[in-house]
Amino acid sequence: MAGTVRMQTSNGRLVRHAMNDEERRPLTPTPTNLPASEIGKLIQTSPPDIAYIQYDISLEPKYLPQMRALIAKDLSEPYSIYVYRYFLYQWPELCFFAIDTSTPDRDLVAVVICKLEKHRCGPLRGYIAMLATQEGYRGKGLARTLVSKGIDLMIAKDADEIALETEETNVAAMKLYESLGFLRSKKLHRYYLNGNSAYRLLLYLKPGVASIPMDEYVDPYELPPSAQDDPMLVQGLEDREELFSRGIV
Amino acid sequence: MITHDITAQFHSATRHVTAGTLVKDDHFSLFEAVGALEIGDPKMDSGCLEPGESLDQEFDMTKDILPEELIWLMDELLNREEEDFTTQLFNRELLHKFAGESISQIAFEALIAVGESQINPQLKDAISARLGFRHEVLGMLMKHTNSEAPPSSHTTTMHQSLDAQQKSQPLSKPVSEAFSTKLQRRLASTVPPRPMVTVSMDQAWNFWHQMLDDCSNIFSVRQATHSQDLYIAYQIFAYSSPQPSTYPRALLQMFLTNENLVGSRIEPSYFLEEDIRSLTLPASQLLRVANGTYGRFCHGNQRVADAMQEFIDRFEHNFVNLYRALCLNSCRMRRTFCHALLEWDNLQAQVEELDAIIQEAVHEQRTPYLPGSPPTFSFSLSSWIYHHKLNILQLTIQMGFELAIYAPHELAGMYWYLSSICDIHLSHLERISHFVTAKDTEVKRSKMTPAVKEKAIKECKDALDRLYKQYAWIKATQLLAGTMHGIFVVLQRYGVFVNQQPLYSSDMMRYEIRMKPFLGLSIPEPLSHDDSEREVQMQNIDTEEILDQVTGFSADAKKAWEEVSKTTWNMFPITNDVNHASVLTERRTADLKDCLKAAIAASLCVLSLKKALKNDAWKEKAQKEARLPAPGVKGRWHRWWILPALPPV
Repeated sequence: MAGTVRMQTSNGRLVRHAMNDEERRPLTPTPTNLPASEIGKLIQTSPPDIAYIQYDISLEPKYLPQMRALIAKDLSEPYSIYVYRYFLYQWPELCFFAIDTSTPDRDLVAVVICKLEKHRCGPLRGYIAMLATQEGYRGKGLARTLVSKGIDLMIAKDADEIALETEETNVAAMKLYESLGFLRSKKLHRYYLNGNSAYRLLLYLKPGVASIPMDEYVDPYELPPSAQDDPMLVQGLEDREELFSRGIV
Repeated sequence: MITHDITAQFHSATRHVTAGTLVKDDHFSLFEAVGALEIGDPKMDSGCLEPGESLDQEFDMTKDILPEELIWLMDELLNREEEDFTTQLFNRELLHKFAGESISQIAFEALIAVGESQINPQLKDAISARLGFRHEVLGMLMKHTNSEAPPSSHTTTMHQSLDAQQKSQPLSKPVSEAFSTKLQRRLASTVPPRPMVTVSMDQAWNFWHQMLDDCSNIFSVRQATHSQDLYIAYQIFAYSSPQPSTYPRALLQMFLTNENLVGSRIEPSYFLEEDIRSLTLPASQLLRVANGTYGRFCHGNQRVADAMQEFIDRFEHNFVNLYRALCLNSCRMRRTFCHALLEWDNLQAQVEELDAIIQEAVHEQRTPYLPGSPPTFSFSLSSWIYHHKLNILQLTIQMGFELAIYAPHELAGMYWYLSSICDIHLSHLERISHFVTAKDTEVKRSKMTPAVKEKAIKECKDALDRLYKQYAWIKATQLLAGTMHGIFVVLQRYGVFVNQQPLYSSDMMRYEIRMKPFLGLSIPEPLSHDDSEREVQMQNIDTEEILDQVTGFSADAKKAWEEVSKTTWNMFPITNDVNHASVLTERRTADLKDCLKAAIAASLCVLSLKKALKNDAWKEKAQKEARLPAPGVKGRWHRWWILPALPPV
């Protein structure tokens, strides 16, 4: 099938002319419009001796200590129990974990913790807060499965988008999320308390999310960590000019 | 103080609440939760002690120590620099109640005391070097507060002192209880908990050497006598590798506003007018000149005078903020530019109204701009805004390459977008040139006094020269971006850097994420995903044709960057600065050399891709082995031009 012919402009636009069908390449395929549950089936794995459990508050005595032990290994700073309860009390259903059914106590070996709420009075934003897999259980698709379960449920709950931050050096995590369709939306300089920078990753779930109006305020997490505990800096930062005048460099 | 024991009530209340329940109000956010401490957890609770342990520091600073221990303590303190620049270091105030002079005096007195002491000469020298260094650094910092650069001999002395300190470090003896974990536990009591970031002593010495150099080099920006040159100078530092550390960048910011003068030279409102004048309104009487003979001439039209004043008043902050943004760390700089784009877009729309008022007042005649198109007005003020907006847009896109924001499969699209923005900018510069040329003609025909006329003619000619220089830079960028676009499209056709069909979301929604900072702009009008894909993928053009075209582009890109390399960084006269004369030239030259290397690498890449056109075995190999070198890695010629590392054909 012949294409149209156009003259080359002074800007150096490419000349177009006829091309063979066999050389024609398809555009990057847009995904099938599968419902979330069907997408999950294509991603999630069920290795032997592994069971997946959705959290509820009655499981706290048994499994919260194990979650904390597993997650604390990966984090440089200690989180109090209130951080866990903040998520698990408000969004227990968005916490999924994997257990090894072959151990006598059916121990927890992987966990994901999420939340879902309106972001700056705008889009309904899912947030993947914590993800960890026990050493020895990695490479089996557990983290991927848990994340997928979390995403599927957030989609079912009408989330507009899903966000998370991950350390620049955490190649495995970035590979995981990017393979699921996340993109890096921004880089955060020395975001983590150990001095490492981070990327914010985003997944839009509905068209038009980018245009949902939001409240204009400065996200305290965008300030350098050393400035985050200064109440003067966090409150009342109405606009960019304030940011400059406070001497944040 | 009256206390009430509420233990019983508390226990009674908690019986009604199951474990795991969170009782909170609407203001208790995640931010608050992260700051909570668990009393009794030794990692978080500074009051939680081992049996026999005391709460306070056990280190007695008043007791005598050995000279070797003193050396160690001083070095440890040098090691603890805080990257992010606020007035608190680990929530400890840094003696801000004491004047620099008093501390400098104490250091000086200590230096004398050490000199007169009877300790071992080697240790004496080591301690003197350390004291002397602190004295010198304080002197430098105090000069900085007056925007004064220390002489280069001073900087050399400090470098030598650092070397002496580093050499004498083995003489030191640790005093580990002076930097105890008790302090670290105190850190964990702040909101949020914060571990001490430690660096090795080698890193510390390097950091200080680098910072001294930066503190000296940044003063070279004062060579600039014009807003346009200052912008280039600030950019040169923004894009230095490594970026200057926080303190020198803070100084660069300070230069912009110290004593309410930009660069210690000019008031912000005049600074703004100077920039507009030199780009779209040469020889215009609507703009004031600093220290000029005449004020603003508004053709006796009060409405114009008021509108001009309002515009200048409102805009001077936005304009100076462009320079301030260049002093931020690169992540924050890009985010700031994203916000600035929307602000400038809004302002451009508003200023078009001001342009209309001026048109009327000066009885501007429409002139046909492009052959065959309807006659139009100059819109000089909004043209100036659009020019800067397009600059910011280019920087924002390019910094995305530097910060590795774009996934490999996005590079074709982003390089295409960059080349299309450059296209638009080139057309815009042509438009501005057209109206500046018209002004030039008008001036030549006018009845001004000869001296005034000559000055006006020169202003117009210089404006056209500078427009050409800007044009050359953007043209080089556009050609190389076009080449990169072609390279990545062909690679995708070979199956390299293709997005592996992720199942969540869609390409259209990923396009929205990527283009979010730009979708809100009214001009340039954002493209829909379908239209963008059509331009990017060039489905109707076969691979061989693309490769032929980009062969031409890359050859032209090489020539274009060579042309740009022949120009100086400045477009206006610069002040003589013996100490810093060559810094900006050197860095810019190095940067342009890297762009040229990237252009050469691009043409070699195109050659390889041509050879591989029918080579399916190579394509399979490339799919597995192709890499994108990170900045600093071999094969990454320039932070903004990501040539892929491919297996040999």
